[in-house]
Amino acid sequence: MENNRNIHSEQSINIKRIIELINKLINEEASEEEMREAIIKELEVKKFESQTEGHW
Amino acid sequence: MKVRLKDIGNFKTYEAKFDEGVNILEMQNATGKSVLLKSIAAAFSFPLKSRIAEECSESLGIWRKDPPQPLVRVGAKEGLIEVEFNGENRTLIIDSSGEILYNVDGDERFLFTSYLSPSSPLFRRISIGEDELKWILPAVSKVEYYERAYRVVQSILDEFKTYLEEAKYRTNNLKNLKEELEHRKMELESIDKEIERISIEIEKIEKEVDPELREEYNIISSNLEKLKKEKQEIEAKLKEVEKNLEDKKKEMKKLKDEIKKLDSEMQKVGERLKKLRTFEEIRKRTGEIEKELDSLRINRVEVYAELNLLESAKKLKEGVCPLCGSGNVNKKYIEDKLNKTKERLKNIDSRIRVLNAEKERLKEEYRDRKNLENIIPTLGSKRQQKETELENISSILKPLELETEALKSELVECERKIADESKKLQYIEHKIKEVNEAGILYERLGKLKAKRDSLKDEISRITMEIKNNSTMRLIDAEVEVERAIQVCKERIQVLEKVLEWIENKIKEQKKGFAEKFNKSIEEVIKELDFEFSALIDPDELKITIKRGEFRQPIASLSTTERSIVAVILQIALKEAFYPDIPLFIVDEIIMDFDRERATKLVEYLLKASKERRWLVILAKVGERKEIKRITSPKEISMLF
Repeated sequence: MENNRNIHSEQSINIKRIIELINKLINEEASEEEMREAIIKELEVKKFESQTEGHW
Repeated sequence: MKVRLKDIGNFKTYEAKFDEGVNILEMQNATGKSVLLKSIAAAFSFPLKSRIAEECSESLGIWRKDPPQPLVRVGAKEGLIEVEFNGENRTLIIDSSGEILYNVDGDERFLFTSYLSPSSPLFRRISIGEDELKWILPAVSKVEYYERAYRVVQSILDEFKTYLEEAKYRTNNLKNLKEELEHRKMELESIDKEIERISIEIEKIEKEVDPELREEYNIISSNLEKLKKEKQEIEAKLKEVEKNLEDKKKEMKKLKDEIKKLDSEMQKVGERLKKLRTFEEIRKRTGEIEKELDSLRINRVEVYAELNLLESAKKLKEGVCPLCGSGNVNKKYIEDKLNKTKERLKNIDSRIRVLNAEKERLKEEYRDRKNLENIIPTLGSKRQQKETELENISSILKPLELETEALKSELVECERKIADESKKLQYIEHKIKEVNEAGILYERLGKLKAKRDSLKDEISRITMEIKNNSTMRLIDAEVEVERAIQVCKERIQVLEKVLEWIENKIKEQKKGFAEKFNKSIEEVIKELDFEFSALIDPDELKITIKRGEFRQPIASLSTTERSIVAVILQIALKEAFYPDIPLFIVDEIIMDFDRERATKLVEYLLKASKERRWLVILAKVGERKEIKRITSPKEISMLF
């Protein structure tokens, strides 16, 4: 139960982070390539995990 | 507002000034009225960022992707637009290829909301009865960017799904490989045990066997091997000699046949020679023929002379007879004589032909004889050559036959020895049965060792495959497949939620657009007090006209009514989506309406200029070249 709760809260953090990034990209009127590059970077294994360190 | 143009449209330089309130710009056709308005719109909109803004500016004749640029004066390298508005300076320098050389950041929303001309996309679409308004959405909202983000996130999500599939496939593969490895290791273990067991058994047997017996067994085994090898060699040699013998015999038969053929040829030549005369006989007969021919030729000359004489005598009518010398020519006598002479000549000629033919035959016979006599020695020489060859082969044949016989005897002897040794070995084998058992065990041990080697190879191959399958590349890192599955699932969940969020955002944008637009339209129409209203459907983003309780499509309106709807929508768009810059420009359209409607619209704009400090420019075609400012509703009537 505790573990599931952790995973859920962790996901929320990640969703929030990606949404913030997309909002930023939309405000900057980024192109498709720029959006792709930025989102992929955010999803990179190393970076993604460093953001939610300790959960994995 | 001050406007200064340089090398724009037909103007080398041009300056205009608009004051706060509603400005009526009156100019003749093709004198630069629209150029002036477009230049102001460009100064507030450039640089263009989106495709839809580019399309709009092309449609308005403000900018083109390809030269020539519609605003830059023909022949000029670049054009300058300077607008001073509310204390801000907006400068735009554009070159003839369309490149913006200098500008103050504008907002392309200005093009869609604050500038209306007969070329505006809104006016053109409404004019042809099109009710769809989706196309404006990207121009006045961020929906295009949300859709862009949606596409990007969707494609990344698909990639993670593919990663997940690959990770699952690898996991499954790994499971199978690990099972296989386990199986092979067990197999190897069992083989190792069997090898150990057999090795111990062999050792035990070897200790028990009598060394002398073993030595004897080894000697006989070795002898037997040697004999078998020897037998193989004799057999090979015998085969070779027999083949050689067979070849020679064939060769001899061939030579004998050839000699026989030569004998038959020589006999035929001899028989033909017998039929021919000898050279002496031919020469003798030829001499006789020549002699007779000479005599016949002489005789012929004489007979021919006689014939001529008789022919002459025959022509005579009287006188002395040239033949007999008598007094009168005896015609009958001459005639008989002539016939006989002709007959004699004919016989002579015939005989000559016969003799000549015989002479030719004799010549031919002579040639034949000569040829045949020449052939005989050639045939004889050939025959002699064949005879010699035959003798040579015959001389080889005998030793070969002797060798064959010797080899056969040798073979028989060898086989006998093999049989003897085999018997001995059998006897010893019987005595040392254990030795045989050890041999079998050795053989089995060899096979097991080979199998063990192949199993070891197999195990290292599987281990390598397990290693290759146990990790995979995931964007920036090489991760364990189990982890990859976990990571992919997590990313997929996150991205699905993000997609949901974007989807809602797009819906919100559309709904918000419709709501905001509808509210603005309602307010504008209420203010104008027109007999109809307009409503945008929030899902379809289509506009319909409301007349009391009735609804009607745009397409069912008259041309003027459609134009009025376009103006109302433009004002509502401006009010709702871009009130930031208080500047509103309408080229012609309004001033073409009937007095009552035009007045209402100008009144509305006048109110906006007062309440919201709008600067409005309404252009119309007229004889005067002037900018007239209206500050109160009373002044509106002056316009018509």
